[in-house]
Amino acid sequence: MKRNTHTAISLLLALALVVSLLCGCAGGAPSSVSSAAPAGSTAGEASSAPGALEEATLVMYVIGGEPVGFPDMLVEFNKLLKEELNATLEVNWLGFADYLTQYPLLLSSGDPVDLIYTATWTNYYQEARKGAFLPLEELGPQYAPKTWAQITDAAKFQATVGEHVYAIPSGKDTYSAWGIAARGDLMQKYGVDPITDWAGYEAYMDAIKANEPNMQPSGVYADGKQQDDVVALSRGYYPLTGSTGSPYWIDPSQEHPTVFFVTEYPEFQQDLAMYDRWAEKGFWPADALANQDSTMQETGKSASQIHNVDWWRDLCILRPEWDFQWYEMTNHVEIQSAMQDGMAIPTSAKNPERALMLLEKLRTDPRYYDLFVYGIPGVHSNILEDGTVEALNPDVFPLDSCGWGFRTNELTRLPTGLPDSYGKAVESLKNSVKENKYRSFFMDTDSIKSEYSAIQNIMSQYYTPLVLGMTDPVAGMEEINKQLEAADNEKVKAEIQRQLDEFITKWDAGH
Amino acid sequence: MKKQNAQNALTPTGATGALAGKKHPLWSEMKKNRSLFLMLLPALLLVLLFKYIPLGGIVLAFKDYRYDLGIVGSPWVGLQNFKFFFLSGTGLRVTVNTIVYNAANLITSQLLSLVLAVVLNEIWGRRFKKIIQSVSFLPYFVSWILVGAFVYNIFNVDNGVLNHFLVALGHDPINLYAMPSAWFFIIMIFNSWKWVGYNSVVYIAAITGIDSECYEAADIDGANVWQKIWRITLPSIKPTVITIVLLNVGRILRGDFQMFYQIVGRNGQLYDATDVIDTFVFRSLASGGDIGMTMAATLYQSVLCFIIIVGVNALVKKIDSDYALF
Amino acid sequence: MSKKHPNRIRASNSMKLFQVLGYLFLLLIGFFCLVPFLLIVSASFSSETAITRNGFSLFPQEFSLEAYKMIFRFPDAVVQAYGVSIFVTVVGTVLGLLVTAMTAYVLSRPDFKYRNQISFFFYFTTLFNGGMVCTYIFIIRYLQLKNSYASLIFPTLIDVFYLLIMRSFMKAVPISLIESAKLDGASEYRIFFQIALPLAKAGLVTIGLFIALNYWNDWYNAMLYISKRSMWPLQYMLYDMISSTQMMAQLSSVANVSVMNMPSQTLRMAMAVVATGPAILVYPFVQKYFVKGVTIGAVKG
Repeated sequence: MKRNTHTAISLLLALALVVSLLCGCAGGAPSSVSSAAPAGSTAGEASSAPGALEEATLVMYVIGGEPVGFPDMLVEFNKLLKEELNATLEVNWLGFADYLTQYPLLLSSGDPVDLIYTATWTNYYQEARKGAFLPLEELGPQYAPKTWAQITDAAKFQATVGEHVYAIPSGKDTYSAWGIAARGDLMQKYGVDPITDWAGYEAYMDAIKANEPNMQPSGVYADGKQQDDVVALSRGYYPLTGSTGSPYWIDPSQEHPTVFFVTEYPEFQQDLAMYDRWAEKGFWPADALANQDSTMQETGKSASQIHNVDWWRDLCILRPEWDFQWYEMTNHVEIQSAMQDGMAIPTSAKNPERALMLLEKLRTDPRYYDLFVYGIPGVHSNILEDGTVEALNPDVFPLDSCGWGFRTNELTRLPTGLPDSYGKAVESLKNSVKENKYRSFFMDTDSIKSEYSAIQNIMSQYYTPLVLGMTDPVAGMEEINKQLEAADNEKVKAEIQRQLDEFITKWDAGH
Repeated sequence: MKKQNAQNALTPTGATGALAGKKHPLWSEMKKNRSLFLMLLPALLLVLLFKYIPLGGIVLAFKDYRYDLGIVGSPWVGLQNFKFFFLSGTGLRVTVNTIVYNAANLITSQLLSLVLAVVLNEIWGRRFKKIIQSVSFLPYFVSWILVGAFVYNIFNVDNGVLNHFLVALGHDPINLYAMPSAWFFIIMIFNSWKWVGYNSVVYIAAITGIDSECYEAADIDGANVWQKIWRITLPSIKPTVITIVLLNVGRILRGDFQMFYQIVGRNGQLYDATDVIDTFVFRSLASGGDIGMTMAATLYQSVLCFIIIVGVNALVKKIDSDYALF
Repeated sequence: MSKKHPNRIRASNSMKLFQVLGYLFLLLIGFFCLVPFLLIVSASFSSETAITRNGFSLFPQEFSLEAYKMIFRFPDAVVQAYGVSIFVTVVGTVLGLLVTAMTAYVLSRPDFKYRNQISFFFYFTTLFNGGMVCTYIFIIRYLQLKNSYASLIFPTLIDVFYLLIMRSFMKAVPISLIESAKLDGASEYRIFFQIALPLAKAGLVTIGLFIALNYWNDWYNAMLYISKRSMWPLQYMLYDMISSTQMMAQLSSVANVSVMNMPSQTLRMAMAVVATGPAILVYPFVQKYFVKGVTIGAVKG
């Protein structure tokens, strides 16, 4: 009996091995035209004369939910496309829920995809490194010359992975500006001064705590815990991931910055004491991390939230009666990384040239962009005389549901009916933008991914409860330091430092 | 994989000898029982197609997967992908957690279902019985994400039902979210609750299959209800119980990810007590989504499950070969 | 159970005690299983603000159909998704149950020589799997099942857990019965359909129910293999709806104001009601098979 089972097991294993090797699972994208030189010359000439272009079907993938009215728009769009580029576009959607699963699967499957949305949040750098996209230095200028010229050097630098540029970053500036959205009506009621620093914020929360027993003074909840990031930003430090929750930071004002773990900046102990005091005062409940309610501020359950300017804009529109105010806290507004949004050509593309020609149209020709992003005029939206766009049926065709990857400052339109103060706020953001070369630095954790994943775990398991005053500051710090040592923090830091040094040399040479 | 080849290479005579010797009886057996083999065929094909062929993906656990090179062409990296799991000792802790949770959940939830089925079988009142059976199935339809919302509603410090209750009784409110040890029981209770109706269906069906002559004979002999349960019902459904327990032991290293994730959420304070392999892997790899490392963690679970179940099965076989899984 | 009624008249003390304890126990279970569900139903008919403000309650607060309006915003799509779900569930359950029962029957036969090895062959797949990437590539590229209902039905047609549970039910079929049928000249197929299946009826219903619920609740295969909206089953449609509302609320950079006040909490509740409704309605029909006992003697005679 026993022997039988043994033989059965080894037979099975052998069978599985043989079968799977034989039958495929080879995977891998079929290698496609990497050098475009021969095909290029003909297509390049032909771009002015569509008749000469061979008929092609382009497959594009974007992230989001497909609006109900989208197919109708696509019919119209394809008429235009057929006439001018002799191509038909097929758009597929990767749902918000599962793009993290579907995106890598799609790229692995080798299914032909001509154009795909990519961004830092869809792991652009990691995917590019794994050979997902075509390099564009040659194809780009040839088939999308105007677009290629639009990309700034800094943006190109940010889209570079290893030796190549694998994506065309979007051409619209988005601002990284963090601040506090607070209730203007309550500030007036309780005589609180406009917030200029963290002590001011504390005073505001004190007033709320004293007078509004049913309101949570701060907006801390499971997905809203950017407080410590913003405090560190306001001290002038920069997170190396470029976004919140970064384990590693630098001081950009230094000539040659040193990488440090987030708890290692000089004022950290002082800030930690402040968080602890806030928690003690009950600015957020002790179980805030279990709370998943993202609507606390619009429903009046919390009195403030640390977030970006768009968050505040939406609140203004939703609850004009509460007179929401926004206080910029970081003192250095920056233009976000260009790779916040972009488009790439997967290695599996059948028509990379035509895909780039389409991208050129979308980025530079308002006929294409307006139709694709705002829908059929008169049915889905109206473009008003002042250049703003009015959604006629946002349920059927919400504005700008899929065009993030190819937005440009020139073609993007504002929605009709924004409050005046929004324009002012954006204007002031534009004026206070500071350049930060480290935005172009990409921290490559590939060679240290085991250690880095352990560090990420430390962030959520030990660091977050610490800065929300849920663990004892002294014991909590000790625990973190112990864990950091076990996760080989020094090695990770050294590697990132090496990359940063390399970046600085490269950057200085280029500028 | 290398080991596999080596093993085959080392025992050519033994393996082929055994194979050659075996081929004959299998062949004659297939001839003799052609219709039985034909009845097995659809299932065999399905499993071969959808389970065995994709098994080739296991090699990814030892590779640095690249899209342009494919599964076969991607470079080997040895055990590199396993490293993240064992770094800083977390792997061991979550492995122990997983086993403890699953064992506790297995016992409590199956026991509750079993009791429910047995009681339903003996209770008077047809209609009442039917209603309870239907109602007990309802929790199965409540997704974990909704359970998570309930849990928060019950236990949160400021507005939770539990704390309202405690305060009304004159106690101080308690913050369970800072008490990791409580969550072992909370999770166990909710798990039993969610599956009670679903699991009991199997037992109810098994009880239905008992020959009613047995009960009649017992009645004639004047057996009381406890004796009937003990002497007839439980022994009759023993094979089903054992099958289900064994099946669950075979996945003792896999956590119900949704359950842990939705009940505990992103609450770092509770991780020490509530982390299971799946949640830990999810959290560590959330932003990178590394295919090789995910595969490595899955393979680790598989190998451990395999060792455990082969051991347990062998033990069961020794005691009574009828009850073994294979 | 009607046979037991005579006993009721002169029920022993131990039986009375058992009944009292049993009722208490069942009432307790019933209460804890029913109440949360009622809370969900009631919440689904409440307004979003009332729910976020006051939490759950047994009766709807500020009665509102907002969440249902949201789901049925495009009624055609919902009806279509219901259609897909029903089709997949019915076809999948019939095929799955047939294949499972057939296989389980063969594996349960004590005279079938390779039953343990073949059982292991099946069981092995629950221990090891090749991961998503390889499965995905194989199904999409080699079987060409993208956007095909086959990809919703076949990968999950055989569930080894159910197979082995079914096997334990099939073991109740006495081998003597099979042998005597064989002597009478019945073919294996006839023995299976006319003797084994009727005897394992309760098991068939149970496993059938489980298979059907699995198909009904499955959104994962749809997520992987179906990109055409018109082919989405109900569960995936709802799943997508809830997650996009959530994501849209978080992605405030998307310039569309209407996203922020979507009823996300009540929406989730209403979805639970919409998706489980039909399954709950079907359950009582299934249930009647559990009550009737089997008498092996009857078949023997």
